[in-house]
Amino acid sequence: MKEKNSRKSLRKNIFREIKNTKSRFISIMAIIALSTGFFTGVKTSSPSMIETGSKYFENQNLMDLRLISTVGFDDDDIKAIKAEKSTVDVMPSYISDLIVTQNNIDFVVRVHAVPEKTDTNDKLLNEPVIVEGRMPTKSGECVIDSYFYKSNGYKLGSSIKFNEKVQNNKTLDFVKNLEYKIVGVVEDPLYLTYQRGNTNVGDGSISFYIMIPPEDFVSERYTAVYVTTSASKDGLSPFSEEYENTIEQQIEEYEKLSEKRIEIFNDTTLADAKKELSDAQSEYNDKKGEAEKKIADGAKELHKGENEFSEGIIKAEKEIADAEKKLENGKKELDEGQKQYSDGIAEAKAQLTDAQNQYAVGKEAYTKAKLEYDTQISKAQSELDTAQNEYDKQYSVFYGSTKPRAETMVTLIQAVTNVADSGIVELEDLVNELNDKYNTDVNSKKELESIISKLNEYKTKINEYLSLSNRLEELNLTRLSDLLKRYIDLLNNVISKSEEFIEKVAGIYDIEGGIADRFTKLTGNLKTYCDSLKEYSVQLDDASKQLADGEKQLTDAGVQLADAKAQLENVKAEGAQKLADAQIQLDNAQSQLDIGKLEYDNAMTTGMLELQKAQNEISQAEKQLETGKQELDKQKTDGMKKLKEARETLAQGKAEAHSGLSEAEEKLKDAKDAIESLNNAKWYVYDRDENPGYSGLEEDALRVDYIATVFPFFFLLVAALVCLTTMTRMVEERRTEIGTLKALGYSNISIASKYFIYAALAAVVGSIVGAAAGLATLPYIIIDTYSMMYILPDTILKVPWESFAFSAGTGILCTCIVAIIACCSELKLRPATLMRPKAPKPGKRIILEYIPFIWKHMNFTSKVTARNLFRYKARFLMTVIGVAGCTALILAGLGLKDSITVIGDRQFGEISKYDQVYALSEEGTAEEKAYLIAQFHNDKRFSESLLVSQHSTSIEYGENKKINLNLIVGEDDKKFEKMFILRDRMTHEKIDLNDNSVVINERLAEVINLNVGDKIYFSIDDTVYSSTISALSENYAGNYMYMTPNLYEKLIGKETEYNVIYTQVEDSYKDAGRDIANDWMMNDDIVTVSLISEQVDNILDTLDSLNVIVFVLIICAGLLAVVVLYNLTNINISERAREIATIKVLGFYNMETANYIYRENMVLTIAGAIVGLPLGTLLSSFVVLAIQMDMVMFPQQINFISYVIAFVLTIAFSLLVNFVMYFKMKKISMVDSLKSIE
Amino acid sequence: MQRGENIMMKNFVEFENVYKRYRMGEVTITAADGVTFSIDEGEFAVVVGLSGAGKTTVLNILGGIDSCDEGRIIVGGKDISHLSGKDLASYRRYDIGFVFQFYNLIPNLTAKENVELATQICRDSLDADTVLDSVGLSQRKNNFPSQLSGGEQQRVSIARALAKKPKLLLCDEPTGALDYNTGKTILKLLQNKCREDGMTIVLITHNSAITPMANRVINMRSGKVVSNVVNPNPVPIEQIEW
Repeated sequence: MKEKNSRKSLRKNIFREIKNTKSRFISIMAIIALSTGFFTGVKTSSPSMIETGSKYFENQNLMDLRLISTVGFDDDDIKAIKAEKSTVDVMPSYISDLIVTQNNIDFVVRVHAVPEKTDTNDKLLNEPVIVEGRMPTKSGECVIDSYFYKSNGYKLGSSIKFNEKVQNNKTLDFVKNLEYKIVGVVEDPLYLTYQRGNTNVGDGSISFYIMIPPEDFVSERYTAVYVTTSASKDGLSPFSEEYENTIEQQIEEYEKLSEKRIEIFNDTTLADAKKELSDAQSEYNDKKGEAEKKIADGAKELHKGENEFSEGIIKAEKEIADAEKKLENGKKELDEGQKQYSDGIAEAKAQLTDAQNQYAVGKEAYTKAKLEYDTQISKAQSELDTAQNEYDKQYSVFYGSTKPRAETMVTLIQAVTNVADSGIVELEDLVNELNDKYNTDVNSKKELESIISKLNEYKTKINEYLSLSNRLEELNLTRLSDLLKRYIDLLNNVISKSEEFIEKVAGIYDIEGGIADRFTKLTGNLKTYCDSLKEYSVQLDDASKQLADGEKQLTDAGVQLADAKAQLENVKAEGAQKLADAQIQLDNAQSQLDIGKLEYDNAMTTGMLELQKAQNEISQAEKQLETGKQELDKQKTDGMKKLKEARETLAQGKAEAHSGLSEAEEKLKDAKDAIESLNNAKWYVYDRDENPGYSGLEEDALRVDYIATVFPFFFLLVAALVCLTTMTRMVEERRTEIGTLKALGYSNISIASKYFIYAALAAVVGSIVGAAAGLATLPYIIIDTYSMMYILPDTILKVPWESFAFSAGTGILCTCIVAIIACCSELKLRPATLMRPKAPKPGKRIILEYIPFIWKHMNFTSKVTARNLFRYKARFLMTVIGVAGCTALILAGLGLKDSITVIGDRQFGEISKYDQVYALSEEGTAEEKAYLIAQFHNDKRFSESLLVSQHSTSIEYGENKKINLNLIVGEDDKKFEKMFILRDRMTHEKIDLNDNSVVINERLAEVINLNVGDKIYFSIDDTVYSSTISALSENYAGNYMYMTPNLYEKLIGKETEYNVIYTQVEDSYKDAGRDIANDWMMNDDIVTVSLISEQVDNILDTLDSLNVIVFVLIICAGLLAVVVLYNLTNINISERAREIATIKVLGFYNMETANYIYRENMVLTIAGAIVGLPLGTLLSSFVVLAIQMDMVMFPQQINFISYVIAFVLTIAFSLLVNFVMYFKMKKISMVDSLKSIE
Repeated sequence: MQRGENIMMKNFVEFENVYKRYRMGEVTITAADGVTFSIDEGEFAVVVGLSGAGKTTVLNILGGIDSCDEGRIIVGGKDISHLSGKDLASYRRYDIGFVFQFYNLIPNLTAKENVELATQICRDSLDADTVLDSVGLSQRKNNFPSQLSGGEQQRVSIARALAKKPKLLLCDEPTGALDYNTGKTILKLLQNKCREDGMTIVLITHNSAITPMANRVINMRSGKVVSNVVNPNPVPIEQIEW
């Protein structure tokens, strides 16, 4: 219970402690995280690279061996390979190198067959990774190299078109189509980098590969065989030594098999081919004889035909001549007849003309007479017409208007008169009546009223008259109307008088007498008027009479007119009769004339007909002639055509015979060539190292691993030191607390456990966080950089846990042990002592003070700084070591970079002075080579060219180790010296070759552990030779042995065979290296060319990726510097808070206070940096040595500027820390720091 | 140097209603609760009170190493209550001498160097040797603090304060860590400096027995000034026993 409680409060104490000292806890954590993370992260990179590669090969089932034969493979070969005991899977395949021209640039394309499942393999070998699209499914489709696809203009769906020829061969002899449609983009595991390898086609270097269906290859025999062997199937890591050894053994195994197979090949296929050749030869000879005979026959036939033709022509020509003569005679006769005919016609024509003239005179007289007659008649007619018109006019006037008018008038007037008469009568009756009535019954009113109504009737009548009078007026019978009007007036008068009378009558009843008289008188008047009316009537009658007279006169005139008409008719008839007679006479004359003309015409027609007949005869003759001629022509052309045909047939026959022969000849030659190529049949067995870029991966991984070992280890060391300081300080700070706990009775262990747990917690958390962060970043950064050169799938992390355990363990152990040791030293003291504040470290005189010369010349602040520096020696040391480590890391990183850069500059700028290397065909004789080198000398684009014998040689050293190198023998001393600069690395002294010893490069000597004067054994083609080493030459890339031709001949025992030409390109042509190479590749004696500039680029690319590591190094070193300085400054400040507060109280300004501390910091930083520079140089050379490969020597080079950068960067990091610390210092409170110590 | 009363300034130090509050979590402690007093130039003033009465707060504010929340502090006619950090540093540098209970000497510097640390930042300072002589440490100049006794260390501390020729010497329990006799000598030294050199001294102590030696006694309790009494006849320290 008690124990539990104490633990609980202790735990609380720990967490509170962590909370209160966050920055310390975090800085311990950070430094451990940094070192663990860096170490684990970098250490993981290399195994991960290898793992990623291995997994990739495993997944894609990468072949272990590739077999190539000069004669290809048949199914029996495949079966034999399959039967071999190491074989797991066999996949026969095809490879062709073809050429594609794009934008006028020739690219060499390696055409692979798409991997296929056959009965010999269970799985696809070298299965490509499809990046885009799909695999080809039918002929004419292809998939393309992903790298090239990215950089070139090809697209999915576009086509690749091969040139029709590859060197001297037809493309279609290799593949079935000239054009392939791109249906997919792939990554082939055979190509691990962006190198595509070399070939003997085009400019010698392969630009990219494509894959087409295997059926699209024309070749009957397989051109390549891929094999997976037990080596990889047994699960050996492809980069392990066991694998390499196994493969090496297996290569030998297959080489043995190849010898057997070649023997079989020679016995069967080759023998068959030879037999075929002889068959072909005899067949050819037969064919030749046959063809020659055929040609001779043809020529004979042609000759015969020619003779026949010329005979036919002569015969036809004679026939034509006869016909022409006949025609001539006929024409003459025709001319005579024509003349006779024209004479007769002329006579007849004259007679006819006379008769015509006479007829014309008669006709003229008749015409004249007729004209006269017509004039007279028309004159009489016109007179008659005038009279008739006059008559018609008067007639129409009379009957149309005058007569009806008059008659109307008469009628009217008569009507008026009648009316008036009746009126008067009536009036008289009325008056009489009146009188009667007056007399009888005057008083009778009724009767009077009847009278009045009668009066009214009159009134109406008057109105009628009025209208009548108007009509009259319209008829223009003024007189009559006037008459009527007067009559009307009269009537009116009567009426008014009557009315008057009636009034009077009305008044009669009153008045008597007188009226009757007056009435009578009135009536009398009326009578008068009536009389005058009658008079008018008479007048009217007169008018009527006159009218009748007019009528009569008119009738008379009509009669006269008719007479005149009749007379004219008579005259007309008479004239016409006379004219008709004349006409008849004239007509007679005409008909006589017509008869004459007819006779004439008849005569003419008859003549004409006769002439025509003659003409016809002539034209017929002409026609006959024409036909004859045509026939001749036809015969001629026909004959000619036949002849031509005959000739053509002959020529064709000849050509056919020839082509058949030349074809046969070619076949024969091919067969001969084929046999030649079959003659020296050989198999080549290649392992994975032959794949472009394969071996580089392992080397790169190893290099990373070396760096991963050296750098972080150093890092870890610094981190441990920092933890040490920090923990010590922490325990010291808690001295009082420890004392109190101790006084309370806590055991030493439980007191110490707090610090132990604190330290362990920080370290464990730090390592985990650091490892996590390191693993999440560094391997990816580093591998990504390499991925730029390698085509690899996503990185697979393979954490070497022992590295993690080591780094984390170191960190944890360091901090924990430090914590315990620090605790123990405190716990040894008694509680009472502990509870008193630890006396600040007493001041001491420093050595410097005993050198008055220096001490006296130092100002006060320098003295204070100096004494402070020496006061805390541990911290002084810690800081210097930490800063020095940081500087050293930065410098080592930069130095690494410098060394890498210098390889390119030195190797290819100073040592290898050649630009292009041409490999020559093996078959060339010495004379041919001499001729070739002469041609090279003549090429102005080369400043130098040299025949070199270059052989791959190997040296065994150590325990079963073997290193490959190139033996270089230059034909010409002077030229050799210009292209291969042999010199001592240190002194740059020139090394001369002599006829007794060899020169090897420095790195090689190092690897095989030999030196000048030692005997060196080397093997060429399994024969071992030996010589003495005379000197070591400076060389960085590749391993070489140089000797003179004389020595070579002496050693090997045969004349030096030169197989390559090294050239140096004239400066002005440096950019055209490719073109020059292309030009020379046309030469059949040259197999491949390699351009050094391109190799340099490759090498530099590889090495450049180390830059990332350098960068990572610098960043981590910077972080390290910051953490270390921060930590130490932090401790320094908190430890001296009281001192700082005191000087603040004394009136130091903030900057002065800060400088009080900074001055120490700067001195420590500069001291650290100065120590760090030589340390860095050492580290750099160590790293450079470590990452050195057998093939590459890294020169140890650190540029001055790198020293400056490392120094300045360190100072900069220190200033950064100081800047951060300024604020912390400013925050120190005087009041709190100076409080009495409790 | 004789004390010239005529040229001495009245109310050389003035506190007017000074407040200082500390926030400790949710609790606010008023360390100075309307402190008002004044001290004349050349006076030996003793501020007396129990622990927590606010003496040290007043002294810190007066010395420019702490600030007040309210009120006015005038020293030699200059208002220091609203000075900036830098001006406060200048004020401390040129006007104030501080003597602490635990001396606060720089352990890594000799006695002389400790004094020099102060003099090298002043425009008009006394020679380090002279000052050390005047505090009776002629023989110990080149010793490190750890090689000196408490009294000697306090003398160095006083010398360091005096070397700057401050207008005001502030002493925070200067004898608190010393034994009786040593304490007495230190007080004697201070009294002499006051009397002979006319130095204005403000001394805080919880020991009211030594108040008779002062020209002025300021009594504080709970952050307030309880009394401010002028002692017209200060007693030499030798005559005081406690």
